[in-house]
Amino acid sequence: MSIDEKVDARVCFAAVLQREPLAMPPSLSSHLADDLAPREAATPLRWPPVPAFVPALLVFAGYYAGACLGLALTTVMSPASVLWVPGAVLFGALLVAPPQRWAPLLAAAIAAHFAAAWQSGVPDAIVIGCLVSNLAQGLMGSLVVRRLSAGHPYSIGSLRCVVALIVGAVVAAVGSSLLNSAFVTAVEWKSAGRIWAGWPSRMFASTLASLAVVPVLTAWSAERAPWRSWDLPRRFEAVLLTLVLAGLGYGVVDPNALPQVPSALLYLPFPLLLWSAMRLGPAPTAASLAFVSLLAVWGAAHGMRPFAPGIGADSPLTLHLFLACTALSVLILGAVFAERQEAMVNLGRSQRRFARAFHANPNAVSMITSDGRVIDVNERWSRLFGHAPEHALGATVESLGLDVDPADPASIRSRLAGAAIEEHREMRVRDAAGRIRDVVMAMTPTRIDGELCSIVSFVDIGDRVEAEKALRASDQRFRFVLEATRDVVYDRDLATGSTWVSRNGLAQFGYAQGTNDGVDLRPLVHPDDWARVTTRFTAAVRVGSVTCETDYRLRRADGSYAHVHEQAFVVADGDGRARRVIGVVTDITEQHQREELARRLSQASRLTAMGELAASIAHEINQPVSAILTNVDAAEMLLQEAAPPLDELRDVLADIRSDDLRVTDIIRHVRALATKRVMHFEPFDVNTLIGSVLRLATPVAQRRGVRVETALAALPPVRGDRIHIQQVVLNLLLNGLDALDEMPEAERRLRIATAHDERDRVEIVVADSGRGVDASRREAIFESFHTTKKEGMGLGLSIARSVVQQHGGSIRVEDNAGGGALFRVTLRVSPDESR
Amino acid sequence: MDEAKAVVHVVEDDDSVRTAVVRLLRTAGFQAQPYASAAEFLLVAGENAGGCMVLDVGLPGMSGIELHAALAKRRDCSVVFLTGRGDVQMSVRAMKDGAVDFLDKPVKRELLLDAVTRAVERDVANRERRGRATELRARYEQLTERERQVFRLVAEGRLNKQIADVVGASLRTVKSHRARVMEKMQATTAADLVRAADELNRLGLH
Repeated sequence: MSIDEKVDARVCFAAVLQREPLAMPPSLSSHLADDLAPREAATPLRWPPVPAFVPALLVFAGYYAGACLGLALTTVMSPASVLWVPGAVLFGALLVAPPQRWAPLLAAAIAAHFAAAWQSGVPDAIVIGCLVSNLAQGLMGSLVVRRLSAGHPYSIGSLRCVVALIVGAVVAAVGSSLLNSAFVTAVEWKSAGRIWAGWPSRMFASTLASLAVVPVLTAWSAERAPWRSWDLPRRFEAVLLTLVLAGLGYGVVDPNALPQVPSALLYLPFPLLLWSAMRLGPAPTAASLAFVSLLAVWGAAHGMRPFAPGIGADSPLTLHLFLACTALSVLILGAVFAERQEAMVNLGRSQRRFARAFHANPNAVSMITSDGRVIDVNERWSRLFGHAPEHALGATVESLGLDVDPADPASIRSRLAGAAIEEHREMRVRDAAGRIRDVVMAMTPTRIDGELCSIVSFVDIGDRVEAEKALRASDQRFRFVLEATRDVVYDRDLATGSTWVSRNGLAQFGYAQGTNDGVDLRPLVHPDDWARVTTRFTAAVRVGSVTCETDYRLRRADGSYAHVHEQAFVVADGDGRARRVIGVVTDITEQHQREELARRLSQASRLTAMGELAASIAHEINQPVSAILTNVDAAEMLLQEAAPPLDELRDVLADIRSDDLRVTDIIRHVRALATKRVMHFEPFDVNTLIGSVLRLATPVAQRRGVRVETALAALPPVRGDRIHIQQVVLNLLLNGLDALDEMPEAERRLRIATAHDERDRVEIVVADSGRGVDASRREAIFESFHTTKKEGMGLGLSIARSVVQQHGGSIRVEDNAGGGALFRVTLRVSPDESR
Repeated sequence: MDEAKAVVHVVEDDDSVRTAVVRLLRTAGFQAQPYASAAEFLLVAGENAGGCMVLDVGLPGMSGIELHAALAKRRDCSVVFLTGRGDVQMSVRAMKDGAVDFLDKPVKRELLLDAVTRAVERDVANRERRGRATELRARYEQLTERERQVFRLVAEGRLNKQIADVVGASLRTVKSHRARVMEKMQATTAADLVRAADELNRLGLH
């Protein structure tokens, strides 16, 4: 069964135990419907859904017939009939019909009475007296029976109802007879004595008529076709009974049929009636009883022994006794038997219900006595513990080894002994294979057959325990990671602002270990960085980014600031609204310091290079200075000659001047080299910069017959000093133009391209179609004072490299495909904008 | 010593400096020849060029020091070094290797002219010595084996009688040999012979 069905079954089980009416889940109805379907309540006497006049007609017919029968019987024996049927008919009708419908029935009875009496010629007084008594019988009888069986649906299978009927019949008889006698006496009081004298027999007759007729009416009204639910043997028996009764009837009615048979044969039906009561149910029994009674009366009326009136023609005592015995015993025994039958059926049903509920229970259920003996287990229990039912039943908890530690006060055995109530105890038990299982146990003490025991149920939570273990393990792993990493991990709910922070991480910033909740990292951010950090975060959330990286400074416990790098993950709910932020903050102070150091180191190495540069500068300046001095000396000597050669002197002066200019040139370039370039770093777009450089350089290129091509890719912003980079690019362009000067016009091509190669690198490429740079000189060209040009100091590329390196980038020269040199400048993308 | 003024080869790669130095030397009366590199000097003047040299240390390709080393293998040369980078170590080594002087740029006129003068003198002296050596060698070549033997013995200071014993010739033969040696070696006294022998020894011929 699925989990839903299991739940449903549990609900059913509980409902069953509490005897609640159930709404059956469809999946279970097929399993349990037969046993759990509510038993059809003891059918109330149903008033058949027919038009109102039909019952009245029936009553009329029945009353009339009864009256005629009674009259017929009366003329033979005594003025009083031995069987007062009409009243009984009315009695039965009024019992079956609800009081609302009595009116038409009474009217019908009255009409039938007069109809019958009109034919018989009985004196009016007696007729009316009879009417009164009949009405009285019917009304009193039905009222008494209703009163006595109030609250219980009337059924002939109920002993209480049978007793009520007997009492009602007696009372009705007494009452009606009294009334009758009184009435007749009052009207014709001369025959009072006789009438009073016949009062007992009249009473008997009335009672017995009631007992014979009313059951028929009530039984057949309740169960109009009892043979529908009979199986084959029963039908056979019914047929047999019918045959026997029919034969009996024939034998009684036809005097010639059984001449030799003793009339005591009439007693034969008695066992048959009992048998009918046992096997065929109330309706056929009642009918048979009525039939036999009728036969007996007929026999008595026609002088058959033993019923023929013997001593005292007015007291058909034998007959009455016979009828009384028969009817009473049959009715009472029948009711008792029916009740017992029903009780057994109910018991059987309820037993089956319980057994099914017990055994089909999705939980493992067992019944165990207080000293640990197993009374019963269900299938699930057997499967859980691995003990077969036949093995478990009768064994003890100890012998089955269910408890992992029997001495434990929380073990099954201990709890049983204490008759404890358990609702949800997680515990461990051992199954037949010796495996330890995790279960939830519930226990309820109760009494079964007077013995104290407990209903113990188990639910296997092995899966849940496994899942919990896995969760704990993963939780532990998470904690290990948190402790091992020195990063701070935080989890902030954006709605409430409440934050969980890993204290281990914060500890490295000097904050004490404590609880993880409630600490907010935000006040620890450096005030100068705060605006930037919040702006970035809000922008990221608004845009719907999943991650957001920021660098900022975080205050340590001692007040100093650490450089940190934070990577935050924004968790959105189903509607895309940001709900939570989970972030990892890494201390990059060391890394920052290392970078600082590296920068200073590179600066220092630049200083060493500067030292070398200074030496080479000194040398460069030395040459012209040297020449100047020697020229001056030469001039002095020339002037000491007799006729100083003026032309030569002029040459000397010219040389001195040009040497001096050379020196100033050098000095200017050296200034350019040595100036501590103050760089203003800011984000700028490389393509825009190249555009502005091209605006300067393109006219020059055109003048020199060089074709310039550009191929600019989409680039993220770069962080650097725009002006310096501009100079670098211009330098490279001009170098390229110079390199193309000696190429034929057709082959003067200069290409400028940009690319965004890796995640955080931007490249500027300047390629010419000149002669290229020898592999051996690729490093040397970036050194100071290296030049192959007639003019020029050879400082451009070294300055370019210095600038680019200060940007954290690189510059190098490669072969251009197709001949020429290709200069590649690599710059770093602004870290704030990466992604 | 026929050349009126010795040639001064000026090897300097910086144009201005070279022009100025050549001008100065010429004004001072020297015959200065400019070269822009060691290669140019070797190509134009050749390894056996006479005269002294003013060498810049920092030359493209073969440096001044290297050129001096290469030339010095062949014969004594007379070199004045000029340098823009004052390097004590370099200068000491150059001097040990026989340079006339090692000067820093910018160079004072007096220092330069003085050094060049000495270089020229050294060159002349070298040339003379070289001439003498050649003569001596030529003369020696003309000696016969016996005569060389006698020459050697006389240079050792042996008496004629001793020489006769050693050679195994008569006294008269020895005396006649001796006379012929004197004549060929153009020596007037025995002392001259001794000097000549020393000279020859030094040249590794004797």
